Amino acid sequence: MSERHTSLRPVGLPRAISMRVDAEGMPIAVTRVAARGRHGTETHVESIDEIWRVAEAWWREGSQARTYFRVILEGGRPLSVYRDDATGAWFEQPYSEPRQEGTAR
Amino acid sequence: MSTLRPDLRSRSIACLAIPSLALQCELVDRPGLIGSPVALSDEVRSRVTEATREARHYGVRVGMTLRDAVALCPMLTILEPRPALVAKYADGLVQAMEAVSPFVEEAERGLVFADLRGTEGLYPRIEDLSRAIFVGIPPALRPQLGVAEYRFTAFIAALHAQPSEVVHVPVGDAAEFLADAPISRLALNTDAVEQLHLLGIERCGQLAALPRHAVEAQFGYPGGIAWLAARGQDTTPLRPRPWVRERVVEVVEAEPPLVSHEAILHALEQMLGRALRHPMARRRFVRLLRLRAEGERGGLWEREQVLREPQGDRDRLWRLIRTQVEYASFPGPLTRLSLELGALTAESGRQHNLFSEEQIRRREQLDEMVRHLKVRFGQSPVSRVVPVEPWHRLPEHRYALLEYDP
Repeated sequence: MSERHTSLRPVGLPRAISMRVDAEGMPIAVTRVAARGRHGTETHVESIDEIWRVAEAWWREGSQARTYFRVILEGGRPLSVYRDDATGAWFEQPYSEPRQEGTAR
Repeated sequence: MSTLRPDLRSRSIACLAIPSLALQCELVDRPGLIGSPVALSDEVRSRVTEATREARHYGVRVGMTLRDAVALCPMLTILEPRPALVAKYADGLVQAMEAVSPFVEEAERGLVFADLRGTEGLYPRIEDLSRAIFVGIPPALRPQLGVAEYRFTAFIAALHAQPSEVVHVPVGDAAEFLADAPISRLALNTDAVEQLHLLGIERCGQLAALPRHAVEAQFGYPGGIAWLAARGQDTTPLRPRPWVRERVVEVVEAEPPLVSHEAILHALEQMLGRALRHPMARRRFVRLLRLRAEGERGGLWEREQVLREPQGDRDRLWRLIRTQVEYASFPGPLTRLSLELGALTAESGRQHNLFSEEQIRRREQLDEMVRHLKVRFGQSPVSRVVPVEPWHRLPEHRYALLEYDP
């Protein structure tokens, strides 16, 4: 008998970034990690388009709470980033509205 | 439960029966034999398959050898079966029923059911209905008509009717009417009937008196249906044949008769072309092919083919017909050929494969390449995106990559 193992690898995992913030905790400039772990250059945030919060299973231990920002970088490039509300760490992650449960794609 | 008035419910189904159709057809065709002892033989002229009342009076019985029958009744006229003649009159019975209802089922040759619901306005009295049916049938065929709420009751009523007469069973009287009917008339296999006979159950009334669960436990689902039928409550619906507008029939009368397969094929090819050009068949697909050939001496050859998928292409249909004919064993020279294109589909569209042959070819190439890379690197370098929880609020939980393994 032969066994076959297959594993699933998540798509859209967040990537760590460095974020400089103002006194109110709003993003001012972002530094993305470049290839081979080198720090990239800092890019200024021109504007913040939208802010929203996602608290997943907040009633459970180890739940995640994130504050997402959709920002426009200098040069006009949009970027979705979030702050992990538990640790204060920043990540970039493309974000779209989740599909309604039970609907076709 | 039907909400119709009981008097209307009691005339839901009509059954037209001719118990000895093959013999009656011969008597219609040879009226000089009416009133004399006549028996019909089987195809190999060995045994009696049907006998007139006059022949039975002399002791001639179905299943008897012809030699014994003649010994009992020296003036017995023995006829050979002519299936083509029977088929012709059987079609006439169906047409007679179609004159009063669009929903007609030919259960077997000489046994036709019609759904009468909605025809009360046209035929307010049962006599009007029976007159409309019998007008299309030669009286010498001795047709019998039964009308009731359900088909089994209507069937038994037809068997009780005198020739060219009707028996109508009111709703409340069905169980009593059926009580004396033999259980062999029910839709049970011979083993079940024998088993019931061994238990002393001969009549529908005895079966109906048993608890339903006991009958079902012994004979399964058919037993339950038979139990309901015996009580006059069998709701088995009619299976009407395709409506006349759903078929195109082409007929060729051959004079002189067709002998060679080549001539038959040539005639059929022309008939197919004509049938497909018929306005009713235009831009529609065919799901049922029916071929019928009648021999010079009354023999009949019939083939029916239900197509796995509807066809509108003349070449494909022709290939199907040609295959049937090439391997056919016809009953001698043919005087009549009939081709029916039936169950015409409403739409003529065809759902093609979403993937063209080129796409399939490229997919096979991709699979081969992935297999090659897997051997070289130990794992597949290609993955497939699969939904995990597409409704999840955290994006990384929604989709995942699964190794593509051809």
